[in-house]
Amino acid sequence: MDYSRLFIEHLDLIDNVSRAAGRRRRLSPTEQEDLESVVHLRLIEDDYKKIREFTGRSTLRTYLTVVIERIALDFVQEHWGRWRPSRKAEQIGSVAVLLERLIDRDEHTFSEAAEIIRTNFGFALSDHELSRIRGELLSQGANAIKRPRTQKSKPGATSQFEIVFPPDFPAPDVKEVLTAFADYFRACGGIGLTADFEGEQVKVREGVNA
Amino acid sequence: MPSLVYRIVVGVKVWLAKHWKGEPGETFRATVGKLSEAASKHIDSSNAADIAVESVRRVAIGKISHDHSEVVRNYAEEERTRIEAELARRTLRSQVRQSESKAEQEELTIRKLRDEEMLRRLELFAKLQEKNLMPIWDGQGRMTMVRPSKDFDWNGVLDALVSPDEFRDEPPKKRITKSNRRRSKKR
Repeated sequence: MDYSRLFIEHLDLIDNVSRAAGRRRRLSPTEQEDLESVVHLRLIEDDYKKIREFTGRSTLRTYLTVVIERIALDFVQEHWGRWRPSRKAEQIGSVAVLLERLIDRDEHTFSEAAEIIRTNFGFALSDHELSRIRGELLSQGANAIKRPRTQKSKPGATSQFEIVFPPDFPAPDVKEVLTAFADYFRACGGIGLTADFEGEQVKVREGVNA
Repeated sequence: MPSLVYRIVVGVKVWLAKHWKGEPGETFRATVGKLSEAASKHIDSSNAADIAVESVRRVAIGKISHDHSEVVRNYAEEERTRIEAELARRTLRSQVRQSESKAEQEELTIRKLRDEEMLRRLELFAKLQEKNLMPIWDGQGRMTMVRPSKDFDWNGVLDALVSPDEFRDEPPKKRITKSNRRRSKKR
């Protein structure tokens, strides 16, 4: 089986699943971009080991979701460090641990966290009860996680850009020029400069482009 | 009256964002930046119009020609194959490095990589000259390819692109010892 082809054919699916995993972890755009790169790399390495391990017991989407979730978990731990609940939260109980995790680690607001606890975890607790637990946690100076969430991408440093060729530029020449750029990028120590074609029509005032 | 002008736009993505933001990306951008600067200095009015088009509102996005999309798709697939090969090569290289971590070999590898970068830089320049294209990097990070006029100073661009110092090997670092210091004072 040609695993590289399988990888290429499902690249959109892989990116979608990675984006969803990043969204769930509330990653910044830069972190999201990094996660997608890491996912590509992990799926490719060891001669597509992760893809080769797919046995068809579930759909490919399900399998990829599990694999990518695991990669995202490692990625987040590597970036922010492993999160542990405070001793106080553990003393109060599982709801306190959940509340702390949702607010301090995942950066949900209090009302979002309360909703998640009620809907996803089935705890029938009112906002008042939850805020009392939260108050207790805060009064003990519980786990305020420090993570570098404020990093912003530098202007012009995005890994996606466009190359605009003259309108009558022949197709084979486009390929040659792209290859020269990719070869040069590789010689600089980078890999993976790929391209997608987008035809484009631009309306201009007559004479401007004459 | 406005008229429709077709343009060929290729969306480029670097797989590993850390490569783009790191040293490889910086070197790449610096080279394209030098080319862009040289192109901007020498550009004539007809080329300037090319860039002016970019500031005009985009009206519609659609396929211009089957050929172009096919060619770029082929390029992308070939590039992915090259990436796999490169990844495999790097894995091997890191394994070798682990087993032989001699400083001399490291230095040799660095020198080789520097030479490779220089070679490919010149090849990129040669390709652009052959196709009569120069990139102009705009403020939004878009690279617009323009056709320079016939009297374009390609040699001037080459001078800007390659500094003569780059061909020189770094001189061996002198250790500052008491006797060295005394000798330099005497002079």
